Amino acid sequence: MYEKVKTHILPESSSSLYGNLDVKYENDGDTGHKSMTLLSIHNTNVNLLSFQSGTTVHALISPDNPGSKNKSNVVAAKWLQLLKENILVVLSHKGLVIFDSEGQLMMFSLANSEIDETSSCLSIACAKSKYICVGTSSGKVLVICLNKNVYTVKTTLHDHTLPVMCLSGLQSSKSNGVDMVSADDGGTIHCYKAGSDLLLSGKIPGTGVACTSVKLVQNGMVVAGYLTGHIRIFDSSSFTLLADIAGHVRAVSSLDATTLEEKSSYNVISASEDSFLRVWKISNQDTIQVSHEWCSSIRDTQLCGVRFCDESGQAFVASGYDCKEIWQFSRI
Amino acid sequence: MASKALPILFYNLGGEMLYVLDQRLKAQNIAEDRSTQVIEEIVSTMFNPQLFKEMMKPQDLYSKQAMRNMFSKLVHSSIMRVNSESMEKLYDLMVMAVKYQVTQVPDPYSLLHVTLNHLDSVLKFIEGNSAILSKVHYVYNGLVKAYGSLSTFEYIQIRQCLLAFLQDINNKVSIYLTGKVQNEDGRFVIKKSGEVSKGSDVPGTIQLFRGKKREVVNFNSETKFTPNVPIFGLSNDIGGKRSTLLGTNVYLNCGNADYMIATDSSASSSMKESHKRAKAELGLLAQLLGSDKPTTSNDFKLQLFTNAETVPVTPKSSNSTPTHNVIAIKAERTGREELSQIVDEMTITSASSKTSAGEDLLSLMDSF
Repeated sequence: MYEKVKTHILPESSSSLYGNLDVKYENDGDTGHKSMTLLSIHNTNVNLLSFQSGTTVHALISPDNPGSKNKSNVVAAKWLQLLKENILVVLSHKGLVIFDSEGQLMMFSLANSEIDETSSCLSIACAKSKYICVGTSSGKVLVICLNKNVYTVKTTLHDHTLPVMCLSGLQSSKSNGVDMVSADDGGTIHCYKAGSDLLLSGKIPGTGVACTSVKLVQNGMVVAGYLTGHIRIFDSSSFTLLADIAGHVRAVSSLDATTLEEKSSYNVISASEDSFLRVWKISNQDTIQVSHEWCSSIRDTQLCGVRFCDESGQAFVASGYDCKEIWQFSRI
Repeated sequence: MASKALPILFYNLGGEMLYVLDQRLKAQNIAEDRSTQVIEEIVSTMFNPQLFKEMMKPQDLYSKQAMRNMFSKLVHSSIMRVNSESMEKLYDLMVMAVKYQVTQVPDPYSLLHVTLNHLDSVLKFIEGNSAILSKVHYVYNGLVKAYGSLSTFEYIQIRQCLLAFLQDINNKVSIYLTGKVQNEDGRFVIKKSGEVSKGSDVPGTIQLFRGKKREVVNFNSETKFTPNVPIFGLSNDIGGKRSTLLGTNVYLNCGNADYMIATDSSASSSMKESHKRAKAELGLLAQLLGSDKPTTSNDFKLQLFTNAETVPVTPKSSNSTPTHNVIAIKAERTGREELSQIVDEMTITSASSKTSAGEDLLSLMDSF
């Protein structure tokens, strides 16, 4: 179903962080020009690799000030589509920095100490192209908004009592659907709806096992990956468990989803520290259906990131701990 | 952000160092009283309560160079002298052992049991010395107290921090290559069979929940895992039952057998990090390790490894990657002349011989 077509080489190897890979895909409607940029974290740096008209460009971004002697490790980096603007959010042991999408211009920063004494930023997502959500080690979720060209912390959500390991948001959800989910160290998942604010619509209790990756799918399904290698699918409107998959034997480090042509079905891809990439087909029209579509193992590699290259789901990329390689797979 | 990874890294690296030293001292037939003295002196410094207190302060990990210097200083807190080349190889071997353990732990909280496995072995090394035993007990209890109740999140962070420290180091170690746990690229093998970890299920089933109905669908996971067999009575007590064997002494059953260590360019490039930075980072900890023992007539040199003989471990590595040299160490005399020569080089020379490279390193440490 998929085959490895390319291996891209990063300047530096990827660090062992959950969800350590992102893709920015731009399609200029006027010229038909397509470009892809990959992102991966190496300790204190964010490595960017962009492909434009046949050439490959490397860039390194550090959230620290140039010349700073005490550089801090980056824990998450992600592009977010905010209204019409694409921004790059980088979280490090020092705090949060918002850059332009190229990582050249620093637009906002917030030190961990400005949140409180015990919080450090861990995870990022964007809800409804409007709310930048930042999960922290104290369980707080900061909601940052762009108001009259100034980034400000609009609200802080206090619903989690454990560190917020991962978040996932939708640009636009189905009517009255959930716009953002947050998952914590005990596996508890909170569902939020976006209005004039983000409001908690319900909680899915955890089993005590840390949730290491989460993906909110367009039709309201929540796909969650755990430290033990399980993948669970929940309905975010009824907060019920739809499916429990014994999919991997080590932490599910990354998840991504794409809509299939038949619209009501989705392809979900999971990457794990057990070296396996697995593609799942899920649908929940009348009743839940899940099937294992494809898998591949990257030899002796603890995978740390996976992303579909664009919305079509025709291709995806994957990264692994200690590897400079980014493997690209295409549908056959 | 401050991290709790340093004590875990230090005591695991230290444990591995003692395993190698113990095996080498035995293999080279060093008089028992001297071997015991070396091990006891190093353990005594490593488990100094002041050092432990300093370790336990939340702090970032040291640079690779600072850590390397610290262990060189630790070795030379004993009557033994190790030249800088042997020290490099010893350190590379320790780092790879710890990398193996950190990458392979069944779950992040098992990092504590890996550490306790090391400490159990250390306690056996110094069985007869009650003063040093009490130091190790102090550290043991301190570690269990501090790490016994950490959350999953904290262990995940410690593991990620350790993996960042160990990143880009892929030396090949013969004991792992022959044991088929390391591949020819220096990466540790990820198994696709065997027992799954506690909490995990054998991949291959999808449970679907439709109202009150539950349906199970199977799929081919392309793996051959078997269910986890629970271990009952896991304990953080001394000599207790652990969740993993990682961290136990893998050299114990090697006897006098030869083993190899390979070095590659990544190891030597890390040496280029500035000593200045290492100096700054070592700070108080280096001071606590104490000044090195003055050289006395009792001191002896141990050349742990030599690169006089370079043996390719696999045809592939010798042909395609010339930077990956594999060095064979032979502990026993054989009929082969070149190997006998290595043995000669590894035998202990008298303390009155000329200044070794190890002493240069010592003076470097002293200048801190």
